Amino acid sequence: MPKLTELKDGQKAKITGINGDRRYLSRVTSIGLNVGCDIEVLQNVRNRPVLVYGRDTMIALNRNESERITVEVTK
Amino acid sequence: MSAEKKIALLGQPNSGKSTVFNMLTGAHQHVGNWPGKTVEKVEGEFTYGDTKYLIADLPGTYSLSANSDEEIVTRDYIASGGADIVCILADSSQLERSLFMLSDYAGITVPAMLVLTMTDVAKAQGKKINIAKLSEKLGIPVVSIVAPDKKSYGSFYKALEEAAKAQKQLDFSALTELYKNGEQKAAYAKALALVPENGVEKYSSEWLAAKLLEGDNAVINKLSSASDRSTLKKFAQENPDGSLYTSDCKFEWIDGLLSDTVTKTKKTSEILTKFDRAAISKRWGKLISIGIVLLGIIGSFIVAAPLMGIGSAIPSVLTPLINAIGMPEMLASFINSTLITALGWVFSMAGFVFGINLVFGLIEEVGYMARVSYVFDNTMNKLGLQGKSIMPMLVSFGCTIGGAAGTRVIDS
Repeated sequence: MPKLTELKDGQKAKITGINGDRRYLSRVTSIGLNVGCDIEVLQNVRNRPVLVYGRDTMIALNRNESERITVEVTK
Repeated sequence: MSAEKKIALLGQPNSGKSTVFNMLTGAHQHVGNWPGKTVEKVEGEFTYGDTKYLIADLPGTYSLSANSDEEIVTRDYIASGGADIVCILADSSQLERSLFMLSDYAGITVPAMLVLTMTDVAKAQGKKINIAKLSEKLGIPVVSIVAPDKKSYGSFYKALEEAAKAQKQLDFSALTELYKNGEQKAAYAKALALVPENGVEKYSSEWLAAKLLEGDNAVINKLSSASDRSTLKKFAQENPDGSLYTSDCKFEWIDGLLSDTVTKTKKTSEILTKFDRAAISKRWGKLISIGIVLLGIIGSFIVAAPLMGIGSAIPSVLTPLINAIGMPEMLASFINSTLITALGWVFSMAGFVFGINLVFGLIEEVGYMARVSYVFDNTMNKLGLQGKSIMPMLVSFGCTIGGAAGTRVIDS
């Protein structure tokens, strides 16, 4: 399963897993990224947070945090 | 004698909460701290009909979990019966996400109403929301407003009056059904058996069970008097994925709410505008942000110039005046070197602080600052800081006070 950080600009994917402590889990899910959520990668460049679009919202996720999210590419 | 009702505003950041609060209360507000916490407490009041409403603006948080002081303050205030009615705000242009707060609230038995903000933006996006149907599904009044537009508040006041009279609670049975029948239903049933049947304070047993499954420490502490602490701790440890499960259920509940109440007539257009593309680009992002911040500082000085001019002119105007009055020389020179100089400084500083706040407030208001934080995230990380700490740092170049005040946005 690829990590969120491995996706390219414009790729669409579904979140399949989120790993981390409880604090991290509840933070990530409360901004709308839960398992099963459809997302689109808007920009993913080195040394920058991953910019994703999901649930009508643009979200910039820290690279370390994006490492812990696994996805399934849908398009 | 007129009646008094206490209401609380609850909503995610950027849901328009503070705007609504300011529109409702006007000048009748005061800022303090929540007891024992460094979390800002803003209260105000307004009168509608023959009822006086005391209103508290709760801290803007994404959920009601125990992740931060803000969230715990918010929860405890609601659960201890601090408010007669809770107004939950949601941004209708991002309804799916911003209703998460409502789903996290579901299960608390304080009467509530739902206020949809930014309805003008949602309309422009081609979204149509069936308010009446949503209200029927939730069992509480639902209104839609445009937060900065006073004229759109008519339905809000009416619904508030109705909510105060009818004391309707949010219907969370559909969410409970999801908890009880999903993937981790066994764990939820076990959690339900561990919490008091009638709940604690304003928390229902269903809400407590969900939070217990999420491994919420504050809830475990609260329940410790009723049941065995080590059993609760052990249960939480056995279910490390509990919060993923409950949030799945919450989003499923939200999907269910919206499936037949919201219709989209337009396809989502370009998400990123041309300016956005440039502002976050690898090559130009940093240059653009440095440029804008520099322009901002120059702009601040232009705004501040008149006041600063007055400030520096004060000594040269007032000193001859004082000398001319003909008081003892020692007294005159004392006044000149203390009072007059200080007065000059006060004007200069006031102009400067005003200018910086106005210009950077404007840049923040249009939403550009989020792009700066994004562009500088990695740079700030190297310093051991979060991307969003760039803002207070930049402001500090101009004025340390502004910078220190701005650090409150950084998570500790």
